[in-house]
Amino acid sequence: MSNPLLSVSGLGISTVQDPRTLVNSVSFEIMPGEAVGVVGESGSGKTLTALSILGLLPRGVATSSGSINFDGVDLTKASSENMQNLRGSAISMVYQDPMTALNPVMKLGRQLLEVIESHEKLENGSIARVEAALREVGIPQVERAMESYPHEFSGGMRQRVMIAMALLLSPKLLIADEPTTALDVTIQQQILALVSEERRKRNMSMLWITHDLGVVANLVDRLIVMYAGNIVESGTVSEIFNNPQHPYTHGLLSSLPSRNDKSRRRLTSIPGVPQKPWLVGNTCAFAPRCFKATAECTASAPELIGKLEKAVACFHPMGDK
Amino acid sequence: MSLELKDVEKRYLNRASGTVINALNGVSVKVEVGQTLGIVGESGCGKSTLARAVVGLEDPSAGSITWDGQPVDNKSKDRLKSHHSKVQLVFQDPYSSLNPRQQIGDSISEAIGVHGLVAKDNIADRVVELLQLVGLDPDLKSRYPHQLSGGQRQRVCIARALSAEPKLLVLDEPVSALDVSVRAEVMNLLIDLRKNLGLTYIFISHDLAMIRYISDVIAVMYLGKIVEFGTWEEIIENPVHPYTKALIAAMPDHSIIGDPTMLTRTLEGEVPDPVNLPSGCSFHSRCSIAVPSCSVTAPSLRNLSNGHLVACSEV
Repeated sequence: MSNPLLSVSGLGISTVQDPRTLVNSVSFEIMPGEAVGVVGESGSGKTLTALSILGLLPRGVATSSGSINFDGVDLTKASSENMQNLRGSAISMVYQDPMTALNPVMKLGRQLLEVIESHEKLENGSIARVEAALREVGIPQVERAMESYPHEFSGGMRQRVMIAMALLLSPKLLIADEPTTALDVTIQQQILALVSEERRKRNMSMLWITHDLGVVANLVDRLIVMYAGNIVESGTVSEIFNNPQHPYTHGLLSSLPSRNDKSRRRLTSIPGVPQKPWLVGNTCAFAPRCFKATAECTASAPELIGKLEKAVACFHPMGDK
Repeated sequence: MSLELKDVEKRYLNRASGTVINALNGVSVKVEVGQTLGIVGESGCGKSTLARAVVGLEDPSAGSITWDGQPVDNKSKDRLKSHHSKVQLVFQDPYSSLNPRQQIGDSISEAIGVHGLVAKDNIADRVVELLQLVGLDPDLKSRYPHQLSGGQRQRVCIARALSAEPKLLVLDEPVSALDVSVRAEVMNLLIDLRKNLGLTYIFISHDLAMIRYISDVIAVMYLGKIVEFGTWEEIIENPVHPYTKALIAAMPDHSIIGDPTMLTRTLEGEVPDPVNLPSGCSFHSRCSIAVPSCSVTAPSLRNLSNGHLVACSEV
């Protein structure tokens, strides 16, 4: 087996002043060409984990422990100049809201050329390269699009532009933070199909962040489930969906109405609300909401134990079906 | 008793550009008491305009809306108030629909006061009763909205709507802004309230999974029109309109996994601009089975069988 492209090990993220843990000792790997989904609710730490890979944590928040190894380099120790070189070329990102991620007062062609300019020299072929990238993601009338501003496009088209921009320099890793959440379902489907095809064509690795399990079911190879700053379970898509081991994953899946359920059985809900990561301490973060919790669960924190295909952080996993 | 919409149209004038936005283009539908009508569609299909028209927040440009035979009328304050004692609206965003500087108990008692259904001395007791009804601890009444979770806030909004003792609740994307693990709780609450209070719902959502879960009948909307209507089983199991089919295929679902071909079953193109409605059937530009006549004649809803209605000439 090849070496992982990205290896995150014991990553902790916390506020700088009055330290509060936001992400607690997270470890995971992404293989070359592999697509990994991160599922979690708001506040679970999924976005911060992604931003830390790019060195783009918000002001006042920093990595407090662990390492992020990308292609042989520890990104937590890389200089800001090195990070600048990586961002947009080896690792690129697609954000949730393309309207705020694009510059509203700059023509799209210019914005895409800027991506090339910040990593390479602009040359005669650069414009053709940008046009080809836009054509590839299904933008109609590319010459006109180059001269347009973001507001002249629909949300779906703007997201296509973002994807063209992210793919422009053929990254090894694409990070996507809920890029379809703001879109209508039929447009979401178009974007998912586009990304899925591009990833296969380029054998690109991908980290896809979402709160919606349905979105990643047919998009990624493996899933990581985060809860209150911790990874509670990870594994292949089929293991997570068919044989969830953590009571949280299990609860999340049974709280979703399924297309095939003709009985419309009552949805199982998870009582309570997620804990703040900094209040968890040395316990299982899910224990207060868990129907299987015992004294053991509040005495110490369970570690994520298992293999790449299946790992769970729980003292009382669901057991095999 | 029933709520009836007949050929309802709503146009908005954009004063800056002088253009007209066609939000609703002839919607007719009837909701019987005790029934839940699910309305599903993508942004710009007119579903929220419809919700606002039903509660009298918008005046239809043409057509009529009647409740129990009485026209919904926002011309007179008194008549609108009496309408609001029967029909209430719950908004999508429980963050912006509560006053951030008002304790939630006051938010609810204010609504009770407006409708004068409870003697002044009993308002405090009624607030407690309403909070319990939606599964909240009555001690929360002295809290401010920011001190509550999203799910709790949406429960407060539901309690406030129920304070008018309405017959009909219009729920406009009531769980879309909530975290996945609390959506189920609010959905279950809505189902319990419907049963215990004998409520009628209009449940509006872009999320077909939620619509399917709660509705008795479903209306599928596209560009301000109903394109298909039927019982939930008929719409989900036996969709006929090509748009309904595409919508169901695009619905993220976790029952089929690891199959990338699932993603390729997609609808081409985007929803046309409601300023320049396409001629004929408004879906023809994206339709896989369209024939030349589709761009000329707009199909009206016709009965396929037992109240399963479809607006398509090619099925």
